[in-house]
Amino acid sequence: MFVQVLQFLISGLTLGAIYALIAFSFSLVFRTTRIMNIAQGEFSMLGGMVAIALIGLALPMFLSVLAAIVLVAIVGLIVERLVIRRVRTFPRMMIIMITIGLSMTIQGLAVVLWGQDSYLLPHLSGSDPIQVLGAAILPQTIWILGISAALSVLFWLFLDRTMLGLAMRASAENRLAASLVGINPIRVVQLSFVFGASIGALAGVLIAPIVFMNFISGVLLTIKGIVAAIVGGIDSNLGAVVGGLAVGLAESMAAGIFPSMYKDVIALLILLVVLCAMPKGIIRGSAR
Amino acid sequence: MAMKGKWHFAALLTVAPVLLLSLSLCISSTMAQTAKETYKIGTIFSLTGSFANVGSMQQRAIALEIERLNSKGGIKGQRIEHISYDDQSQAETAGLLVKKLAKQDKVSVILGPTGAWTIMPIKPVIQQMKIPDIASGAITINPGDKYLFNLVVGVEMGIEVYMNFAKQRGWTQIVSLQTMDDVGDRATASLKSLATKYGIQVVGEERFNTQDKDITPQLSKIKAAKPQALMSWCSGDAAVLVYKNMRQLGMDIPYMPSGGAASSRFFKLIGDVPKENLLFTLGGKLQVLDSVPDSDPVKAAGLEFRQMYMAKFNAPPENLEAVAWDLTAMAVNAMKAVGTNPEKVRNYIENIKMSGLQASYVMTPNDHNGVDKNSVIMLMGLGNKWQVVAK
Repeated sequence: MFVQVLQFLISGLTLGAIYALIAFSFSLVFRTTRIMNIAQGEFSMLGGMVAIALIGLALPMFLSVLAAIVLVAIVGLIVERLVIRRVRTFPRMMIIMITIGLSMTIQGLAVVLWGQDSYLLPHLSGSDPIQVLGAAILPQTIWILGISAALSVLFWLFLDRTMLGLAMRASAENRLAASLVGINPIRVVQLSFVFGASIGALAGVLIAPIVFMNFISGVLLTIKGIVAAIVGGIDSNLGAVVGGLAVGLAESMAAGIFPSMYKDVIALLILLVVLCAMPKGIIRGSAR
Repeated sequence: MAMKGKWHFAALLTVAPVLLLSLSLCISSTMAQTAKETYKIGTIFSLTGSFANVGSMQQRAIALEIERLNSKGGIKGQRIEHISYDDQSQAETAGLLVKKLAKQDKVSVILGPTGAWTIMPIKPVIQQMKIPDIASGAITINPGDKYLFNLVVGVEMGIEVYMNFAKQRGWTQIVSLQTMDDVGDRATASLKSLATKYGIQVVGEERFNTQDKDITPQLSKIKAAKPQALMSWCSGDAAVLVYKNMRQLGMDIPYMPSGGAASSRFFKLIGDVPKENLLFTLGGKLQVLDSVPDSDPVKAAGLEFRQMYMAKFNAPPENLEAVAWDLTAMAVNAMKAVGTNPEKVRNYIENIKMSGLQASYVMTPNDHNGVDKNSVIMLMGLGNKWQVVAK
């Protein structure tokens, strides 16, 4: 019984780590621009697919991963320049709609480039599971968890302690006031999207060995990522990781403890209860 | 005024012969048309949209087979015309296309669509248009559906073949891991009833979403029940995920996915199968063409089809294409025998006995699926290939 529960926990951690990474890239863009980028999952999908394509061209693993992140960062740049910049001052709701359209465009591009098949990336350090007290954990999961934690720390430092990070958050909070003190709002959004796309791509590359990547993978990732970000507390530094783990554990526990027929219902119920009890997310974020 | 009159007369003189000539040409061509029959096959598949993956592969297999047949003279020296439509993965579009093919294009038979979700809604349209339709989806055909046929090895039949095999191997305790959809519901129910019939006990029953990224919670529960085999009627990415998670948890018991899992792409995604009795699936003649006796007429046609398919698409034809080939063969056989009248074609197909690349079929008025259980073959995966399991 103990072994089973341990396995549920590990499954929850695996899923949770995946959702945390997506939530992270989503909340980064949100916290620095107040834009909800529904196409965020597509950046992850692109990261995974480009890396897979590059490996297919016989590039070494490390180079493919790096090149994929760089290429998707450039895509983020292009998206910002061509789309977001033009609609920067539109009402929030409209910008969200436009990002939905953006996600569909990227999906269409993916179909043209890679068709509709699913692909997997090779694991970073082999796919043999590690035995822990009778349960099995994949090395890739440990990578994902580790990198999520490292990213959280890095961006906490960036957003709370560096001039640039603080400037970005200021611009998100009050664009006019920020520009009056010399912060260029356009540059903020541009930088935010480049970061968001890069981290999204990193997430995609880390996930691609475990999760099948195809042209439509981005949609589900976006949904789970947004839920995780909100449940965890979108304005907090640790929110993405906590939220991701919460969603992942809810899913795996629901599947493990209850008859798996009802797992989705139960997982969503758990999340509903959490949100009702803590509407601002699990971590209430910095005091305002 | 006199000039105008003259002009009119001259015009009439030049136009009249042209009119007469074209009129006679029209008459002669329609006469020529009724003298020779035009064999028309209509196909409806999802070439775009969410099911385009499956639909486009079946459509291109049919197009290739018709091309192959035409290169050999078609039907009685007459070319077979292939009218292909895209249902865009929408049932409503499929319905409109049935009407178009029946009324406007006047085909003798329709092939497709794929998938229960598209076929079920268009059943009444097919009935109304009185056009025979050979589809490729795991659907139940009621006695009232006079014009609809379906060639896919269904859930119930596939599971029965598995249970028979399990009994032969002495596996008495089995677990069921099915998807949370209609197919999964039917698989769960079928497995329960068929297992009892073959004296096998179902010691665990779990469900999962095809979109799930990790099934280890369910598998870990199943593992604790200590089963001798796992039956999971799924295919594609879901089947790969089940296999991978089983390896992750060290579950070295036989895994039986649906017939649709038998593809070379499966091995690309799971890597090599390390030992025997870990992976099984269902197949048909297509997978074993080389060992079929030369006297079998399907062998020559099948080999030629396989060669053309490999040359054109750079990949081997697999289960999907086998079904598509059988759809074409059935339609062509019928038209060869009774001509182009849709009603006659329907009557012929309803009583056809045919051997194809996916299975052999014996259609009856009460059974519009007709798959002969004994023609379904057990395949075992080893290394990166499927091999036939000796009966």
